[in-house]
Amino acid sequence: MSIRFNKINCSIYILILAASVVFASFYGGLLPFVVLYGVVLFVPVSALFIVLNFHYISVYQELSDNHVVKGETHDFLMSFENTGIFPVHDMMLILHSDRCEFEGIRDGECVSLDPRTKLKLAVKLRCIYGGTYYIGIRSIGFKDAFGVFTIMFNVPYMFRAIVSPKITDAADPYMDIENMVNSVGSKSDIKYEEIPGNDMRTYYAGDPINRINWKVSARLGEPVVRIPDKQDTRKITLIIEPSYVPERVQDTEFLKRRDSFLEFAVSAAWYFARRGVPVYIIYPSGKITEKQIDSYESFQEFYKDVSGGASYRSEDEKDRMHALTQERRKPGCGDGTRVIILEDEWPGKDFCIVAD
Amino acid sequence: MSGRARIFVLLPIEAERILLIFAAASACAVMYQLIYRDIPDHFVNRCTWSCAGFAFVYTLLKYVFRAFADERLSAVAVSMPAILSALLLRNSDIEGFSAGMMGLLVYLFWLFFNIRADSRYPQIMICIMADAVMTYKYFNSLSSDPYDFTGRMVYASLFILTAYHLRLLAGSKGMRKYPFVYFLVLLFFLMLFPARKEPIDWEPVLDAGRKAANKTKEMVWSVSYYIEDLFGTSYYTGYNSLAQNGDTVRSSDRTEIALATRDNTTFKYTDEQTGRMYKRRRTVYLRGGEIPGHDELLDTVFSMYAHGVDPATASLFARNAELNVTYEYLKTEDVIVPAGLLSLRDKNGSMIRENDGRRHKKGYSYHAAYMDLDFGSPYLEGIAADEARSLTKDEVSYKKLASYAYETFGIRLNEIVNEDEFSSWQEGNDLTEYTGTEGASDRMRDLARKITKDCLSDYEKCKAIEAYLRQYEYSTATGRSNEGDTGSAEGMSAVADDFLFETGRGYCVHYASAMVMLLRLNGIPARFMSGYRYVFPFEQQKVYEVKAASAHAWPEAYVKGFGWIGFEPTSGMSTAVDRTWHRKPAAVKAAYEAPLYSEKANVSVPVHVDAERDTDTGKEHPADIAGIVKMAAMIILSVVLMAVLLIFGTFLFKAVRYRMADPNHRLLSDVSDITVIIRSTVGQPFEDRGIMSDYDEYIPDKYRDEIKRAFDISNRIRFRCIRCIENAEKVTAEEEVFVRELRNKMINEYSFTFGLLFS
Repeated sequence: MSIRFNKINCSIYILILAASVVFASFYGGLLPFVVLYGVVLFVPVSALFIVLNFHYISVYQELSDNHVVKGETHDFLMSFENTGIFPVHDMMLILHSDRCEFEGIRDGECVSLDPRTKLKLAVKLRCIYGGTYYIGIRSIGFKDAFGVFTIMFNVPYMFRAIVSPKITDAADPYMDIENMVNSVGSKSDIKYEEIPGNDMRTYYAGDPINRINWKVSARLGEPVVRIPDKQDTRKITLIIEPSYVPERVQDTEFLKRRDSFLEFAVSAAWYFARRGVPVYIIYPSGKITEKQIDSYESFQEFYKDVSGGASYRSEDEKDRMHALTQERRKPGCGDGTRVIILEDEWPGKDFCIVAD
Repeated sequence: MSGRARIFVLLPIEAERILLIFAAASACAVMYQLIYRDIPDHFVNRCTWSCAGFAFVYTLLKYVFRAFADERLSAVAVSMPAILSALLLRNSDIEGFSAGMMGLLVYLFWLFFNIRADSRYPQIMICIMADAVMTYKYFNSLSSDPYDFTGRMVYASLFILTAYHLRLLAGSKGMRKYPFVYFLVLLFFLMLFPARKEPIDWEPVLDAGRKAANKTKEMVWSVSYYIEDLFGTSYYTGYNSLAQNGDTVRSSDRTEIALATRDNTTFKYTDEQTGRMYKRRRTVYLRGGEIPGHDELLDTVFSMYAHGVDPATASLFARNAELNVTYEYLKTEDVIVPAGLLSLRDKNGSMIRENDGRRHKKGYSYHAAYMDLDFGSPYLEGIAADEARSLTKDEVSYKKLASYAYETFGIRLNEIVNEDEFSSWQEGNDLTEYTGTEGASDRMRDLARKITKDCLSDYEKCKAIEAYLRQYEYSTATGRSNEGDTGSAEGMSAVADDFLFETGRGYCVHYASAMVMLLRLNGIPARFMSGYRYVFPFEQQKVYEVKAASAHAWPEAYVKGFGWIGFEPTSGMSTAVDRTWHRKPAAVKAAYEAPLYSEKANVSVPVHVDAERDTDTGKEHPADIAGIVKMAAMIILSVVLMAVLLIFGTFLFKAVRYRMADPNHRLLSDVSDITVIIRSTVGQPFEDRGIMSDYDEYIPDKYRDEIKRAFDISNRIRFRCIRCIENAEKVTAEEEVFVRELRNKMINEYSFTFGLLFS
């Protein structure tokens, strides 16, 4: 809760209060004292009225889609219910406009509700950053009758959205420089290379002609094809180390940085995924997770995990992650090529390190 | 919006209207009272409440009648009971008729504006006018302003209405009105606080401030008092400054000495002109310097003895008194003693006979016994003025005078004065040091002669000079030109000359110096005394603080045949005559036993009460209560009558219209009734376009076919017959009977006869 005073109106109020005190100091009777009491009671009664208004107002927020993607427009429903017997006058809606763009409502817009009524506002919302953060209405404000002061209350239940970062080509320049796509790629359990292997099996309709081992087929009298061998090129590992600042997770500056970091991390993963190169990724999702991305499904799983937080469940987890990152930075650690993305270094030149 | 929510919305709206009517009615009644002054307050109150009561009843009726008609018609219907009740009560001895009519007018006025437009200006204008009237009333009849519930309610209502309309005026166009319910809450709290007749009493706050300031001041004084010796500076006090040169002084409120006494510090006297008895505060002169010798006491007692003053006469102008003197913020070698000192004893009870030469500081105290003489008493003045004594000092013995002093004044002279001192006194006083006139100018000598040219005795001369000097203006800002020191004749001459002929204004030092010099120029020994002049407060206290501002200087003259007498030439101070005890031989006892004048004032004085205004006391007369009950009964009766009239009128109107209608319209009316019955069974609103499909899901199964047929007939008539389409099949008698029977059947089943009235 916070209170803001309007300087001009406050000064006028103090002047009127002083005048009423002077009036009642020189004259007795009903008129001066009613005026004095009225002016004096104005502030506490207004505060009481506002507190009662806040007590009986319920604010609900609802997002139409479960999956929120940065920059996409979604339907957002705000519902207000006044369960009290006093009307709510010009309740000011303070929005999270630093991280969302709204259509159909502006920041600071006022709504009024009669006693025991509901109001629904359907608006469009677009999240500016990727990550997990509060969206919609941040706080509600009530003014007294003459605008002397405004009391702001935080909305009891804020809407927390998990916003997926955009997949862009932001990571391409870094990955291209190393020309890793031609020289790396770990062995996948499900992904097969176009290399004819030594194992054979009977030909099934649909097998490529060029896989038929003619010699063996001739010998056995039925078409036999070679089974393609699994890829077994050089391994690449993507290590993502986000920051650990729980107290700043709702800061706009932090959200900006997190958004850029996530976008880079996802784009880097996508860089390999779209080329069909299997890649190991180590990232925190509560605890430290190691995953191989070698299919669309595994990429989606990673994408969802990262959007949902890329965070640590404890400070110890962060320390472990950091230790792991430091270990993998060392040359010859035997884990192939390591691409290390450090949020703490963002946007410095060391935020993306390639160790070989 | 649910019914309950609607009530919460409508209540403040109606409350605002009723309050505005209440305030406007009060203003009208007050205006009426201001024009015709003989209108009693209770009329105003009753008119106000009656109007509000009528407005409340009309509001309820409005909602009752709106079940039958629209707002305009309901407004007209509302006025009927009011007119009826007003006419019934026109000959009543109470103000029902006036109040009822006024309430009706105000309400109709309100309804007119309320219906006419949503403009807020008429309401604002009403509010401003009511404000103006009540403010005028307040400033013109403060004393008779009613402090009862009605008065508070009127002013509080006006306050919140004014605030509410100010908010409307201050708001931008199209802005929503601030909820009036907030102002109602404010009104509720306003009514909890009682108004005071008197303005705010800031005295407790000021007292607290003064106490805090005094504490701070005392701390500063204490610090400066105790550390001044460290810096070798001389501590400044009001008393010490009196020995200065008579330059401009600044007043100070430091406590320099504290007095304590068990004596009564006030006395009572009867004013000769009015015959009333007054209470007056005593004044004590405290002189500083050496402890005076006993010659002065012996002179006084001997003078009384020589004039043959008996104990009864002595009691008219003399009394024995005592004082405890304690030094506060004062550092001096002097001893401060009351004039007429008899004896001085320290804390241990030992007699103090002379200054010990030490510098006395805070905490130094002693007990002084003194003889308080009323020099304003005509008896004592007579003695002082009578210089001719039949006896000389040599003719009285120590024992005889001691015996006389004890018998006449209760003074044990033998304990105060020993025989050697008595013998020394008999040898005579050396007064030469009090006769010096060095530095006196010629114009001062001329003035001295001029003032006393008609005086016969020394005492008369003293009084003449005192009276002359009291014409000078008192001022502490002298802007004097001559240097002078009151410690010498030259110094006093300089100060006096400057005061008498140059500046023409001064303070006690100037007056005292001038009088001393004028007395000496007339051959009367005189001396400059400095110390304190303290006037005791009315309230008895344990300790009396003598401030620096009480430091004072005054002259004393040695009057032949009497001794030293103090005078008060300072124009700002009261003379001995002004302070006299006013004792007279016959009145002494009566005066002291008579009740105080202030006590007399407390005796209740019968207040004239006009018999015709007996009802103003606020008690309801039985006849009034009966009248109010009668009026209320009439109103209720009229309301019931109006409701019955409306119900039967509607019923009759419908019945007549049904009978007069053609078969087509009769059938349509029956179908309309059927739809009303169906709607009532549903219990919730639904889209009703008057077609079968809207009712389909709500129609009871057992009537489904019949109702479907009724709707078909109704649609045929509505869209073909009534629009006069050619070859349209008109309603048959069988169809008409079928629909009517269906309607009646449904009415009987659902008991819905009454509900159709409101359809």
